[in-house]
Amino acid sequence: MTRPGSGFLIGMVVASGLLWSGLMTAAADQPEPQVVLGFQPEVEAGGTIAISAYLVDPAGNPVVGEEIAFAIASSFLNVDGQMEIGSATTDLDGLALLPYAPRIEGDRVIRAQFTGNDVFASAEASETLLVTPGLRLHEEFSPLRTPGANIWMAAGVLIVVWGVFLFICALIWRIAFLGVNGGVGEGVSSGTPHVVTGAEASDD
Amino acid sequence: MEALGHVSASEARLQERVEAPLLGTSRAFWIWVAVLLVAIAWGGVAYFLQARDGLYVTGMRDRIMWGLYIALFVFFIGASMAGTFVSALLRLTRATWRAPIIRGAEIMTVAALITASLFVLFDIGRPDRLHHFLLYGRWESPLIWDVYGLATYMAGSMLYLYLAMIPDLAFVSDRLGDGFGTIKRGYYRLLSIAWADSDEQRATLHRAIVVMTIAMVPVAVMMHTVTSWIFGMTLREPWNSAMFGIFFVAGAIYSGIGLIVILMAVMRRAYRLEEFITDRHFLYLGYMLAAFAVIMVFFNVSEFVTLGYKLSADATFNLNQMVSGDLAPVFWTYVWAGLALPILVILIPYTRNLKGILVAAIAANVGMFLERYFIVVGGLRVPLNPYEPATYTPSWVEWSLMAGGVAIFLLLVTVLLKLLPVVALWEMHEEAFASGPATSPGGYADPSETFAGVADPGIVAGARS
Amino acid sequence: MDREENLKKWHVSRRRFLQMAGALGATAMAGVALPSALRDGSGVSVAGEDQLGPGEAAAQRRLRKWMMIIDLRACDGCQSQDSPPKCSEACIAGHFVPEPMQWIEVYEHELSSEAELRPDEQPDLPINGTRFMPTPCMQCQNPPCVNVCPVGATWSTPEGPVLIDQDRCIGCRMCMAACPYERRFFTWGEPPIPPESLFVERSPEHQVPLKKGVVAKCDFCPEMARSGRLPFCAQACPQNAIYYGDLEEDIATNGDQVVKVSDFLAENSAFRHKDELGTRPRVYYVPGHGELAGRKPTDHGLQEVSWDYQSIRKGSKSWKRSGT
Repeated sequence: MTRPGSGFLIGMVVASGLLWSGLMTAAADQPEPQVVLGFQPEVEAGGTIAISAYLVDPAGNPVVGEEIAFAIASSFLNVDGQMEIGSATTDLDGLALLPYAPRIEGDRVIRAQFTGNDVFASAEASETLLVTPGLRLHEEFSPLRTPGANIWMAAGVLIVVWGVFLFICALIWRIAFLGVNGGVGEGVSSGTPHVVTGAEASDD
Repeated sequence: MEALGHVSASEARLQERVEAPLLGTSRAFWIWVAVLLVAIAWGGVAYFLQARDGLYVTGMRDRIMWGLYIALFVFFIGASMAGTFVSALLRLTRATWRAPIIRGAEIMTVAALITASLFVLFDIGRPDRLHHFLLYGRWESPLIWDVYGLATYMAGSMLYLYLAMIPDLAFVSDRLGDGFGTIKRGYYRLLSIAWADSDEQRATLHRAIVVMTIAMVPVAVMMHTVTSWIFGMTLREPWNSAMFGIFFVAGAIYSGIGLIVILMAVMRRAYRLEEFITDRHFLYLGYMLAAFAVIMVFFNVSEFVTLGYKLSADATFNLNQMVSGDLAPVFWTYVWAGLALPILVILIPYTRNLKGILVAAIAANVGMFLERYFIVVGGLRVPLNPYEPATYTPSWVEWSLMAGGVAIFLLLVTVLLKLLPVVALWEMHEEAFASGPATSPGGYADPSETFAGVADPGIVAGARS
Repeated sequence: MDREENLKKWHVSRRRFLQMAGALGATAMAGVALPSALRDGSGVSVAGEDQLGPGEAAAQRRLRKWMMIIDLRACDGCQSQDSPPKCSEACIAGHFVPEPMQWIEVYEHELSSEAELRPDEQPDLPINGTRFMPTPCMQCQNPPCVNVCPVGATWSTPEGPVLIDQDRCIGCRMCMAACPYERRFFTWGEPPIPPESLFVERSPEHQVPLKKGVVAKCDFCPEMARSGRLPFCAQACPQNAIYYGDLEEDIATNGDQVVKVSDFLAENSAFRHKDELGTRPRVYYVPGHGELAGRKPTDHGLQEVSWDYQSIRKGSKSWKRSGT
């Protein structure tokens, strides 16, 4: 019974021909396949490994077209659980292949599970993977970088404007300087020689 | 004084009028100041309560977290546009009619800026941490742009005001030397920095004024743009608009011109300057007012049509609340009184006179205040989550602080107008009173005629009919 | 969650916390010493970067990147519990959140449109279906609130959460105007919080007790996560609808199971709230309307959250979310 077609056929016969109790009995008698799990034993966090799981029946023949679910034992915020990392379907060689990039460091137990079908009972296997410390993986949003749009540009605008103001202050200083040292100081200090009041003004 | 040399009777009268408030104080002045002080004291009580209990005493809450204070802040920033920007604009375009009005306008700018910064103080929750602006200021924040912009604009406006006042200060300190007490005299003497009206001083002053005039135009535009960016840099519907910068600049000039008109009308009466601030000045200001009203109409139309055509969810809510919802009274008052009325007043010859233009200016400012209000409150009212739209009614504390803030503004204007020569005498002398087209192209060719109140009949014909 | 127990746990983890506070203090002092203009304005960087080993490049060191997934298929707004949303209640109790703030708030959204339909609008079809959306602070990667803060009182930590320094905040409320999710709250008066909250040590990661005149919001409880606990809201959810996770390690848990974040999001067509705004939230939603909890889309209504503190601090005020 190695061909998928045969398995399907038998499954149909069993399903249609037997009562529930009979089915349960049959299920208990289902052959137990074997999951052979393999991957490189050590990887840096963020690096991708290929997790391979061969599903073979007790006779050593590949079981084709069945889904293998992979999970990794994880603990986060004191919650322990099997974190599903994906699933793959076995090919003609019974091989289910899942690329996986572990991101959590430490000894990680990866589990491959076949849930069973009408022919085969369920099966699973687990192996340990050592994930070594790696570099930062999560890419943060990076804002738009406009060359020149920085603090110095803002400061430059202010410096130019306040520079103009300072220049004006210097000119005011110059006016005062000219007034004091320009030899026309009497115009300021000697009262109001040239001022004409309204009453005195000529009525032209 | 050499500067003013030979003066006509009309100019001598002007000098007298300008000197009068420096020498004596009328009873009306004291009553006016007393009224303002009462209003300020009332605002002080309200502020005490607010400082004690927090912004809890206002009508603002989490959903509409800015209200009257920010609307007034924006309004006074807009009002500050008047003086410096309009005066710089008129100087640059060599509009000789500017001479009697720009000093008052520049004074108003300084007062409005001080008031605007007060409203920021009223609004923040922790006024005790104001120094954090300096300690921890982040240049990326629009509020910091505004803080630096405000400081720069205020410094520039004060410098600009002072610069153009130096010869006048020298003039009054000379002219009124005997009439002044020693302290007062020393104060004017000090401010006039030994101005002796020598050719060199005159050249230096002209140079400084030219540089400053050119510098102040971009500074003023920058100031109003960054104020709009406090709103424009958020993701809220009506604020999230590239138009906000230019919209605020135009709005500021618009309300600013209106304020100049109001100020001129008051100054004309209070200082008896009817002879010098003529119908013609009001007419020109009225034209500018109407022009900017049209520009505001244009901006509003382009905003509402582009949003209203597509009717995205948030824009629909916003337009609905303004056209027929809670903010409809405010919005339609703005449209009809704030925009339509000033345009109509200037368009119709019968109303195109001093009184009409004054009404238009007041309407324009009421309208612009309402516009600031519905921009701030309406923008925050657009719900960001599914809930009944929030409501906002200013509390009595907010109204009181508004009264107090406006009173501070008026007091500042009053005191500055009282202590400083209110009309640029030397500019009047150089441009308005100078005879002949050589020295003042397009100016008052015949001062006696101009200031006898018989203004250019061609232009004012409509107003007179 | 029992409040006293929480307090106790909080103090157990204090030592860790003090380290961080020290780091914060040092950064703040460095900040004062430098002219503000010369500092990097993108905010103060705290804890994570300071804990780097010598010689280790900051950019390469792995850090937690806290995130959250809210499974709307499981959220029935606690209708089945005959209770106000437990997440909001637990957050309020755990942080002594004053009335009327709800740092995580459950909104009832119309199902007929992706965008929220407002009470004044009508859905196109009379199906009138809704879903409940627990809304914490989105902890954006491009946070508008952080961008506009004038004094750097709010910043993104290297671990992701956007925090507020209540001792620096000037209360200008610019961040509240900028936040498109409306997840920031202001203490308009002396906040109505219980007196016992005064014994808690305040930090940006644990804003208890709140001050007057400053902004507060969901702090994402990274301190609790670091000590191996879920945030109050996730712990309290009776449907286990709230997952708390780490983007760096690509793992999240709702207290019941552990999921691989990237797969979980992809397989369940997860979305982010108002993602078109470009804020890049760290909170993801799995679309649904509470079907896993047995809720029909037409089962309307949510019970109001209440803030029943035994006593509140003397002199405090209470206020509403809107109006006076």
